[in-house]
Amino acid sequence: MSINRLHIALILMTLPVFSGCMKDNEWINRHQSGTLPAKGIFIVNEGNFMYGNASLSFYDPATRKVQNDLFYNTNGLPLGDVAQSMVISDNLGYIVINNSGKIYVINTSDGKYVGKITGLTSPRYIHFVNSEKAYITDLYAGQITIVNPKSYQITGVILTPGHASTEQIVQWNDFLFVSCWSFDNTILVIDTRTDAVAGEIKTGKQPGGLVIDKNNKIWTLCDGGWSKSGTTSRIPMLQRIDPVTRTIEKSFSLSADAKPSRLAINDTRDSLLFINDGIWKIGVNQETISGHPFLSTANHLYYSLAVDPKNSELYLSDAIDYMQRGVIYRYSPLGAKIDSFKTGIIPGAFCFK
Amino acid sequence: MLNNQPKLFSSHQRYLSIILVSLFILFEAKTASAQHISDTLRIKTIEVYAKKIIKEEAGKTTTKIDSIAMINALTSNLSDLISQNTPIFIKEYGRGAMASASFRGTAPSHTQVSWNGISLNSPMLGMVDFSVIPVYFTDNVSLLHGSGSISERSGALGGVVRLENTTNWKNRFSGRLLAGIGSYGTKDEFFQINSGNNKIQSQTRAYYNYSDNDYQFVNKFIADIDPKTGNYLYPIQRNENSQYKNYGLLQEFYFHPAEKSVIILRYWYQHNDRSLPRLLSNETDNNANINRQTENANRPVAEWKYYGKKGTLTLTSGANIQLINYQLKTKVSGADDQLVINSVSKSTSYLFKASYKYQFSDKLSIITGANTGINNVRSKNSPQNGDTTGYDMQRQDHSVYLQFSKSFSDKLSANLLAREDFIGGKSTAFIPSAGIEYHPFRDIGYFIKGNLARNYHQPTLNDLYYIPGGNPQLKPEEGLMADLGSGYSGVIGNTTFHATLNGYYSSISNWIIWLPTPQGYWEPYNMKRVNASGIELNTGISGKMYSVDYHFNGNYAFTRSINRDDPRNWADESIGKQLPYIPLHSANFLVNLSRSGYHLTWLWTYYSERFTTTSNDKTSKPDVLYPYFMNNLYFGREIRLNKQKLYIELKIFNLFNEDYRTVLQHPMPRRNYSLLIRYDF
Repeated sequence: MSINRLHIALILMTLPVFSGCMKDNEWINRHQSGTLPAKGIFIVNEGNFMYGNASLSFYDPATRKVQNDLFYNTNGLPLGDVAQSMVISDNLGYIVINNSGKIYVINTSDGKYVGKITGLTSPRYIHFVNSEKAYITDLYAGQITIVNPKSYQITGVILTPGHASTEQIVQWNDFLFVSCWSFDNTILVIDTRTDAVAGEIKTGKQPGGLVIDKNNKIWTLCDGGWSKSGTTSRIPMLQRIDPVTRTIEKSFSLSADAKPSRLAINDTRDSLLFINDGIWKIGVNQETISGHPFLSTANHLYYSLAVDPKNSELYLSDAIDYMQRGVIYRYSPLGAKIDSFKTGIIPGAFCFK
Repeated sequence: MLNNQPKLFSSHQRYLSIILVSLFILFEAKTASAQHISDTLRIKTIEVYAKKIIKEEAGKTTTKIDSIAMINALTSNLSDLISQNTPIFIKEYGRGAMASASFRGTAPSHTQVSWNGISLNSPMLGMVDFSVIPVYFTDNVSLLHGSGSISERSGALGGVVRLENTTNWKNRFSGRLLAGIGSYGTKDEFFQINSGNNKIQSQTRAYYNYSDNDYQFVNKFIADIDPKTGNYLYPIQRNENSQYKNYGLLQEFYFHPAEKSVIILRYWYQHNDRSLPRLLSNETDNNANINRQTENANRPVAEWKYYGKKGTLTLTSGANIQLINYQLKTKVSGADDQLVINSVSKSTSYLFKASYKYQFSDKLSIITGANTGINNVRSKNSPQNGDTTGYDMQRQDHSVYLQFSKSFSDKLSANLLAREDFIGGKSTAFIPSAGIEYHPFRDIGYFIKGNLARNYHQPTLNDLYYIPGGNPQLKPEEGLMADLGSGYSGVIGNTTFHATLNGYYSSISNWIIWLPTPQGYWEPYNMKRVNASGIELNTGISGKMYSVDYHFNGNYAFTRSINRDDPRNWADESIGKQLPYIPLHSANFLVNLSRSGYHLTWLWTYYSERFTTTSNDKTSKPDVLYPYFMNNLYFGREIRLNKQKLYIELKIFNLFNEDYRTVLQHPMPRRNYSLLIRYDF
C-alpha cells in the first residue's frame, strides 16, 4: 500500500470519531416494569418548568418500596412538562400535565399508558362527576373543559368570563365549587345539570385549595397573592363557606408575610391541614388558630402535603433545591415519622390507590 | 441530497437566480483566478505570541480570534463564533434562539461583553444574549480570561469578550454585498459601504436575516397508540412557532483632525424578533401558549483618543438602551384570547469612561482611569387578567483604577493594578490584581505567566428588585482568582505554530442563583461558594504543503464548576457536584485548506454530557444531555475581477445529520445548507 493510500485509510478510520453516539431510539426502546401492588400511592413529580422532566413515582406503604420514573420506564415516553395532579377513576389514573396541555391516562395496575386527552391550554385539575363526564380546570384558558373520560374526547366548555384561571374543584350535591386562583379572588359555582355558572363567591386573594368537612362546609385557603411580603394589601386567609347560602361564614387571617399552601383534610373530615413553613392542623370547629404548628419545619422547606384518606397518615414533600430529586416524609396521624424516601424532581401531588 | 429540505429552493425567484449564477461560477466559470492566492490565506493567521513582553499585559491570558475564523463566521451570530473557536461554552435554546455564555464554568452574567469600550451586559439581567450580536458588525473579537479582565472592568468572574471595530485610513471607496439563502426558508442580506480619505472615514453596515426555522423531525416524546396493533405512532412534526427576523444598522465615522488625535462616532441599531418553540412533550391546542420576544437596542458611542509624546488619553461616552417585549398568548376557541404574559422592560445605561496611559520610559508605565455607568431599569408585566407588577429602579456604578507596569528586563515584566468600585453610592471592597510574565529564552518563543486577583460581581437589578422574588438583601459575588499560563510559538520554514496551556482556579463566594419556591415563583439567593477550576488548551498551526495553504486552530477546555454550598438538609445531594449545564469537557477545531481560489473549511465541536439537576442525577436518562459532536463543512471559491472579488460558498451544517439536543426537549435541526454569494468592491 502506498503512503497516500495509507493516509486516506487513516483519515477514513478516524472519521467515525467525529460523529454518532446519540440516537433517540436508544433512549426510548428500553425498560419494562412489573405489576404494581394493589394499594399504594402515586406521587406526581412536577419537574422544572420548561425542562419537561416531570415524572411519576409509586410508593407501597406496606413494603415501603418506591418505584421512580414509573411512566418513562413503563412507556418509553417522558411524562411531560409540569405534572400538576392525578385522580383515579375506574382503575384508570388521569395525570394532568399542565404545561404540556394534556392529560395522560394510565392503567393503575401496571402504569401503562392507555390514552390521553390533548388540545388543552394549561390544565390544572380534573374532577369526575360520573364515569362519562369530567371537568378540567385551566390556568389560562378562561374556561372549564368538559370531557368524556372514556372516549378521551372534549364534549364541551363552560366559559368563565373575567376569570382566566380556574383551579381546584369540590362537589356539593349537584354543584361544583371552583376556585379562581391566579390573580383572582373568586369561587365559582357551577351547576352540573346545566353546565352553567350558577353563582360566585368573593374570597380573599388567590383562593387555591378546597375541601369539604364533616359538617358539609367548604374550606378554602387564599395564599394572598404575590405582592411584596409585609404589605397590608396582602392578607392570606383560611375561609369557611356555607354551600347553601354561598356566603363566607368565617375567615382566619394569617400574617401578611405568611405563604400558606396545600389545604388538606383528614379521614374523619374534622381536621384541616396546610403548610405555612411548618405544618398546621386546625379542628373544623376551632375558633382560633393556635400559635404553634403541628409539625415544625426542622430544616425543611415543605412543598406539598397530603393525607391518606384511609388512615390519616401524612405525606410531606421537600423539593430540597427544586433541581434534584425531592424527598417524601411519611408521618403517623399524631406526627411520628414512619419513613422517608426520594422520588423525582419537585414532588407536588399525591394520589392514593 | 436536498430532498429533505424542500424549503431551500422554494424561495423567491430572485434567490433562484442567485443560486443559478453562483452554481455557474462555482463549477463552470474558468476565469483567471488560478494564479491568485486566496484572500483568506494572505491574512496573518497567527497573532505572534509576544516575542517581546508587553508589560501592561504581563500575566494576563488573552485570546484573539483569528481572521480565518472571523471570515468563516461572517454571516453568523457571535454565539456560533464563540462556541466554534473559543473555550467558552455557549448554552443555546435552539437555532436562532437565545444563547448564553459560560466562561470558565461561571454563570452567564459573569461574562462581560464590551463593544468598543461600552458594556453590552443588560443591567437588568446581567447577561448578554450572544445570539443577537451579528459577527458582521465587528472587526476584532478577543477574550480576556478570568483575572486578566480586571484591567478592562470589574465583575467579569469568567472573563471579558471584547468586540472592536477599526477603520482603514487608506480606504477611499469600498464595500461589500452578501446574500445568502438556506434551508428552512432562511434569507440573509448583508451590506457594507466604506468611504473617506486620510482625514475622515465613514463605514456603514446593515444586515437583514430571516428564517421560517420550521425544520421537520420525528417526535419520539409523544405517541398515539395504534388502535389495532397497540404500537406507538410517533408524529412527524415541524419546529413551529420559531421563526426569527433580525436586522441592524451600524454607522461609524472616524475623524483624524490632527496628527495626534482621533475622534470616533458610532451608532448601532439592532432589532430581533423571535419565538421559542414549545417543548417536544407539548400537546396543547395549536394556538395555545405561543410566545414572542421582540427586542430593540440603540447604542450610540463617541470616543476621543489623543496620542501625546508619552501619554495616551482615551475618553468614551455612550449609551446602551434595550427594549424587550415578551408576550405569551393563548387563543381559545369560543373564549377571549388570553394574553397570559405581557412583559415590557426598558433598560438604559449611560456610560462614561476615561483612561490615561503614561510611559515614563520603555521600562515603566502607569494607566489610570475611571468609569461611570448610570443604569435605569423599568420592568413591568401586565397580564390581561391580573395586576400589573414591576419595578423602576436606578443605580449608579462608578469605578476608578490605577495600574503600574514594569519591565525588569527583556525576559521579565510585571504589573500591579488596584480598582475601587462605588455601587449605588457605596464603596465596595478593594479589587487588586497582580501579574507577572517570564520569557526565559531570547530566541525561543516560550513563556510562562501568572496572575492573581480579587473580583466582585454586583447583583443585577432583577436580582434585587424583580417582582415576585427579587431580594434587595443579596450580597455581591466575590471571586478570588488565580491564573497560570504557559505557551510556545514558533516558525519553521513556512510553517507557524503555537500552543498555550492555561490553568485557573477561582473561588466564588455568595454566588447568586435563582431557584423555585413553594409559591411557584423563583427567588435569587446567595450560595455559600462555588469553586471553578480548569484547564484551557489552545493550539494552532498553519503553512503550505503541496501548494495547499492549511490552517488549523483547536481548543480544549476542562471545566470543573463545583457547588460548595451548605447542604439544606440530609437529603441534599447537590454539594460537591458540577453545576447544571456546564460540560466537564469541551473542544473545537477549525481546519481551513485553500488552493487556487478554492477553499474548504471544517468546523468541529464537542461537548461532554451536561447535567440538568444539581445532584448530577444519571438514573433518569431523558434528563441528561448526552455528549455530542457537531461538524460543519464549508466549500467556496473566490474569483478576482481586477480589484473586485466575488465569493461563492456552500455551507453544510450538521454534516453527519446528527439527531441532538442542546437543552432538554428542544430538537436541533438535522443536516442543512446555506448558499452565500459575496461581492467585495
